[in-house]
Amino acid sequence: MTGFRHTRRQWLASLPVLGLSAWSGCSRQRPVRDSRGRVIVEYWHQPMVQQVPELGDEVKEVGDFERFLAKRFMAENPDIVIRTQCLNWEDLPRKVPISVLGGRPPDVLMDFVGRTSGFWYQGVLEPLDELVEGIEHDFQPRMFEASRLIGPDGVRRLHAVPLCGWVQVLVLNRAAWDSQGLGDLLPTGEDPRWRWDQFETALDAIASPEVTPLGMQCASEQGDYRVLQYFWAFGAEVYHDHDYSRVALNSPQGVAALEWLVEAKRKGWIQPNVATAGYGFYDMFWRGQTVAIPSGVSVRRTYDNALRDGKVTADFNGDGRVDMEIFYTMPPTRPGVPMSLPVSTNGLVVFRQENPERREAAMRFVKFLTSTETVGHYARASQMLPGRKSVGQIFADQPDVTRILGLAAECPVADMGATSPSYYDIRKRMPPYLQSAFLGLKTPAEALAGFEREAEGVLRGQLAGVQPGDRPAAESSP
Amino acid sequence: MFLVPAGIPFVAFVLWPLIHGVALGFFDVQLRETRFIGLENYRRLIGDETFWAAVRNTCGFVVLVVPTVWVLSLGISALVFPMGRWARSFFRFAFYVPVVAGGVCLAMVWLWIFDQRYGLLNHVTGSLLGLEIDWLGRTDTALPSLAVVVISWSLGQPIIIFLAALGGISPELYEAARIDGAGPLRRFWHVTLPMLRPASLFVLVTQTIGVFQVFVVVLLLTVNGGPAHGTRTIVYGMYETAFTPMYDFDYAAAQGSVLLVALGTIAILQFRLLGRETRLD
Repeated sequence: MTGFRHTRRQWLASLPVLGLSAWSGCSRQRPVRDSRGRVIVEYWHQPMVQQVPELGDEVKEVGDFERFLAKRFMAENPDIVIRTQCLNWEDLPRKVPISVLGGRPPDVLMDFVGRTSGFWYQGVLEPLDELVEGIEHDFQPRMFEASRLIGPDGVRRLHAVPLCGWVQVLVLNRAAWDSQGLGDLLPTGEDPRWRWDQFETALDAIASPEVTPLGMQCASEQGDYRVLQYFWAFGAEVYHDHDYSRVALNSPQGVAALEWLVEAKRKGWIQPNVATAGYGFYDMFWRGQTVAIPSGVSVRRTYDNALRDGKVTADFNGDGRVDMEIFYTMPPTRPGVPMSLPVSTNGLVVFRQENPERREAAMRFVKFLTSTETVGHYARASQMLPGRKSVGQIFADQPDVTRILGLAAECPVADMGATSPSYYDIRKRMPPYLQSAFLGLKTPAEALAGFEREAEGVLRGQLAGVQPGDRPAAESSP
Repeated sequence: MFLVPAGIPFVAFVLWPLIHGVALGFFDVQLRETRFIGLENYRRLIGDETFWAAVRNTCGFVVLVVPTVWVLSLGISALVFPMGRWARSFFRFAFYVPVVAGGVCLAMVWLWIFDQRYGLLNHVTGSLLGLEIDWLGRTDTALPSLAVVVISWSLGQPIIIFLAALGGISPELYEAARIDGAGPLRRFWHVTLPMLRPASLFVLVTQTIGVFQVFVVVLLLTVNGGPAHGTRTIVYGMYETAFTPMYDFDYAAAQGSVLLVALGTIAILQFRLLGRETRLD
């Protein structure tokens, strides 16, 4: 009897706790104001910026820069409090949709428009046209158009305000060739463009058991553009003529490109573990195990961080000194194939707000983050192209970057379908087929045919729910 | 009345999610709206090569792991049981530590063991055989490598169970067998194994259910169940389908329902085949 009374007392005592837990768990509304009466705005962002030399010790780690900006905004807007959260690359595609489903999304999100477009098509974002009224002309056309998507009413609207973006080039460690007297195999600084035969000769000359020249990322969909760069070099396309109802990669050019990649791996030009290579290929670059990676011009800033962290140990001539010279070149293309480059845009979105005060506060914060001054800060800090022209030339102190970006601006944009409704669905399905080809489980033709079949199945299901006229914005070309 | 304290959590955390999960498979769930689509998700499953790759891999895991765990745990228990009390306690502790250490910690350790360049395994195979293998990067070695990891942390519980069950076998049975001229192996085959049938059934059923749901080792030791879907399992596929930007919660729920039915069927079959003659007449 004593035991029964004891159990019942515990059970009754636990009821309020259970009730409170259930109530707080079921509650879908975040408080609008904090204890000081300020409107709370949650800002989640990518780990885009680590160090900003101009700001010294105030910005040392990822997230510090966003906190710095938030403090500046709050100083000018004392009625608003900004709570920042930096998500790593693996968390970004998982945590945000889970938060939306749980009814607790961030108010403002900074992310790649290929991901934010997915939220737009799900109808959980605010249109942001009001924030750029009168200043549309100041935004980089490629980035601006990539951010304008068809809404549920069939009207094209701005789903994200462009912050900054990057163009993919081919980054070399020039010291690898120079240290062996092979520097003349490379393009010159004045004209950093390759001929295809020149490219293959340079790779062959530098390849050794210790060095696999081309760094590649094939384990997941992250970094797919690095592999796709070689498809574009052969004239293959992911989508043709902005038709997102079918993938176009399974073409004679696509098969030829994948055959070249598989052969390049066999020759030792691509790292042997390419099928499972993730971001580790950056570490291979710092260690001198790979010497050419498709990337943006922010690699120089990444290199500074790696140097500071003691990761740069490339030493090709065994003299104990670091051999690293970042050299930007245009990606090579086959003879007669015009160059096309991917342009990746990072933008700011506002999730749908039921509370008008929070909506207004979020809009004011996004307007601050996309002001010329702040965009300039972000662009300089991340070494990316600013989303606004009025920022001016931020790479004036780096003539090689200015030159390569000038050349890149002349190239058409390679269409990855980043803002199509099925972008991530299709993107995610490609790596296993590339891995199959690299591992010899399928021939390149079989791999691309398999990818096309699987993509067709996905697109058929997706398009069943799409209304006529819903074709998403085409990525613009100059 | 007495069932209420246990019943409420059961309904809240087991029964309701189960029913809700099965029901989700019949809807198209978007972030803002949900609509009924009947069997559309199940029709999609039939033609989904990725899902069937996951089913094959999961079955491969079960075939590799479950019999191996049963044999190893039974063998280790049979060897340890005759030892002294302290020795038995030591081995119980040693084999049970991986069970409580946590999958994440163990996975991190194994990631380094399997590392192609700096891993312990390649250090050994390189020194002895001149072989350095990308254990997690080849489709012929990735799944068996993960199976080894799962086996290593699955032995503890069956060993505990078998050691306890061995203690319940009457010594008179062994005495009688010895008198009849049975040697150690025949005594094991004709006395120990039949007497351990109930414990074996429990181990086989629980291990099958557990291995069918293998997930942590795939998530932490591979990238997206690769290479080339070579280690993708049903539960990993459900996770990726639901929680990557594809937001396909309903399709993931349909896969879960299929897993539920499959596991239930296998458990029933196991009980039917192995559950006979588990009582002492």
